[in-house]
Amino acid sequence: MSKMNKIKGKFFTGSNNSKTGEDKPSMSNRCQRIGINDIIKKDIVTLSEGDLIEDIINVFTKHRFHTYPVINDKGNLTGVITQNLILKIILLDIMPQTDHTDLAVKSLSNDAKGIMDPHPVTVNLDSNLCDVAKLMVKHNVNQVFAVDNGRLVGIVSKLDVINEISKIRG
Amino acid sequence: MDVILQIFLVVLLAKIFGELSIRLGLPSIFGGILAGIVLGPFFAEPNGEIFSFLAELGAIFLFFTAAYNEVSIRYIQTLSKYTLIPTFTHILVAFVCGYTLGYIFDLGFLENIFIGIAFSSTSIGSVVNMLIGCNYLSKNPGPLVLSSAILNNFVGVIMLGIIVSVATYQRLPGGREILTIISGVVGFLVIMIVLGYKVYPVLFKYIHRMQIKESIFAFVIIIALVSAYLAEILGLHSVIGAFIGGIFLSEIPLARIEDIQSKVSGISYGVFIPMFYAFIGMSIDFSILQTNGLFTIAVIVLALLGKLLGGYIGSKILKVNSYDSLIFGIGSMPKADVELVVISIGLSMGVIDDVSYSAIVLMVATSVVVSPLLLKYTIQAKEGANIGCRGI
Repeated sequence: MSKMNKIKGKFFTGSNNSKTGEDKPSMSNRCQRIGINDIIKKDIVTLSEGDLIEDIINVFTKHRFHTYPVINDKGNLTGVITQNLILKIILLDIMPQTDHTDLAVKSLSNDAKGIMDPHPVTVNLDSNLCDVAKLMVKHNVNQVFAVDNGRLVGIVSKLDVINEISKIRG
Repeated sequence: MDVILQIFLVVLLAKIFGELSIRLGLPSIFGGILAGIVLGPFFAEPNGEIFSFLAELGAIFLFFTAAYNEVSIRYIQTLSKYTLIPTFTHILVAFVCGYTLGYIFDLGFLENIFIGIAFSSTSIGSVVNMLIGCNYLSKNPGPLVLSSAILNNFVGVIMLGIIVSVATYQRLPGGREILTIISGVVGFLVIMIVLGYKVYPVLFKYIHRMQIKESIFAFVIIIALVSAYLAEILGLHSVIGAFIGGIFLSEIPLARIEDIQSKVSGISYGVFIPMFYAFIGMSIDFSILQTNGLFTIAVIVLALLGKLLGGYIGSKILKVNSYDSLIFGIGSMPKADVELVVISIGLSMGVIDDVSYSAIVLMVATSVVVSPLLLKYTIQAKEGANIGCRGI
């Protein structure tokens, strides 16, 4: 019976823990205690607003990340460029006709500022692991960017979140 | 016919015909219009209240999505002065052609203005499809053609906003009425600026934290409708309100998350916008066109010629060579969204009649078929080779 309760305690958070006699805080309590500073990767590859499409393609082939943040001269996060976006821009003529207008307008520019998606999902440095996980699920994104007054500080991927949650589950 | 059945059939046929249109190298709007033409005779009241309301919602979402999802005001700010001259000339020449045509056929002053505005617009989507099809999006003068279409679209919406306000009086307004119109426009813009820069950024921070399902999406739609409603009560048309609401909302990061954009685009292009195009198709009266053949031909020829000449002259002023000037003129010819909204508003306000309405719809359809053909032959003449344009 106690074994059964232990298994339950792992899968069902909240009041179940008290019934098992354990003092472990619930999963939500534990993930709220982990600040974003503990999980963000600060050593990140960024693009500058003035980078040309050829430079951007080089970055994609060199580093193999899915998404790159775009920053301005002050180090502020201004947008993102994903693998999907760069593929759409390069292969515009084979993309669905419904996407053409937006992509064609973007392709009028040949730098990162012109083609980037200007509204990435961000979190402040006082956020915690729970906030980040909720945002990722809510907005269906694979990474969020940590900013301090608009300045890019780091990035958290969904895999980082899963790894961290895996650790606190024991 | 039952309304649910009507909606189901319109969306189904619009998608099937739209797909066929795309495969033939034509814009998908043909699908919606064709669905309307096919279904029109089976609908007991094609202009019935419920369906015309759904069509109005379609026009609102068409303009809202264009500003919110596709072409942000940022692009207008980056357009060079080089774009201004040829854009101004093709708008002006086409407008004069439309107004003069109405004058020759003895139409009313306001109807002439509506026809002039319908003549002076260019469809961004059709231009893009045409340039991509002929592989000219990045070759000169492709970028200039597209920039000009973007600017033309914004100017067209502004012209529409002004004329709708004027047309509510069904005559040329007097001094006090002009003041009322101006105060309505200024009042609306002030409200939108305050909402856009002060209220929405704070509001969306709270909405972002809401637990209820699809809160951000719901508020984006609410803002589209609120903007449309505010515009109406201040004497502008709802589609203008939705367009301006979309512009301001497009600058709010939390409202422009990709997932939300995709949902807004889904409900707009998946459901409401096909209703608008179908309504356009249902309202065409082919019997009237038969008895007004000369007027219809004059509408088609002058609308396209006005754009061609205006674009050519503007490019020549910039000392662009003759072939590129011709390509620019042809590139400003295709019409679609703004023109169809202009005439449907004109018809609903009783400013334009069924003859002008049907002739202009036919002109819009002709423009998107003829322009890519002309572009193809001009490029072939310019490059001296038998180049191919996709779908043509």
